[in-house]
Amino acid sequence: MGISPDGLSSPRLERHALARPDELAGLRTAVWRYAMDQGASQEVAQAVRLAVGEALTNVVMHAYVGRDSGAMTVKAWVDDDDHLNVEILDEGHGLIPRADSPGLGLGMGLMAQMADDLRITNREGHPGTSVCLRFSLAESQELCGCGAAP
Amino acid sequence: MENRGEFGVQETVESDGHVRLLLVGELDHATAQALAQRLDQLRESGSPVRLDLSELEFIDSSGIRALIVGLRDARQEGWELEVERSVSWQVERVITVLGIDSVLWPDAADSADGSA
Repeated sequence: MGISPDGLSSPRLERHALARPDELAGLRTAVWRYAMDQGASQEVAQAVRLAVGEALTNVVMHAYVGRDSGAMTVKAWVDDDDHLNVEILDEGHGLIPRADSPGLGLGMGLMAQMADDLRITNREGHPGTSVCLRFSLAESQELCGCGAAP
Repeated sequence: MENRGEFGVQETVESDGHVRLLLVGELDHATAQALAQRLDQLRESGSPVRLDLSELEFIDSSGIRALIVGLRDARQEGWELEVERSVSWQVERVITVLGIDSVLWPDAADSADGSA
């Protein structure tokens, strides 16, 4: 996971919302716009939008099943390696299998295909799950240089 | 890039009697249920339906699921539901990554097999 120093030249993003379907678009769009502001190409920004959207949807669908809904948090920053890092956090059940999962199982595959790196872990010393996604911005910068965009 | 965001369905009836559903905005976990409900209503009425995804600026696995389930139900019940081949680049990308072209357009897959 890319570590960024304090006193960043590029600002971080941090947003919180209740883990509800109607909150998905707002958080997803915030990260998408942040990616473009940090120089991501249209294609990379859309990959960010998709992968982050899937991770947030997983929180809404799974993290608080059987209990009152809780929070979902998204954090984003660019590291020294020119990678956009996004972390999606919840305070729910943690990683447990569900025999009654309502999905088709497509979301995980989509996340893995869109991101250069994907890590899913139980949060340390804290209930809930952390999903870390990493996207290279270097390709976006090359595209910007030649003026071509997908 | 402007994000129009909100999901909507624009309905028109075409000269061949098909109901065209033009989907706009973002089809995700929050909005997929609205599409699924409308497809259920149209299936019950028996109206043939053509889905136009050329102006969808976002679709995720929940949106794809709504399409797949709709198509599955249509085929099981002999109801005519088709997806127009021209889709937005955002939709094309998800379809390609998930490898579900043949689910949305089985006739195209059959033709490709036949000519091989």
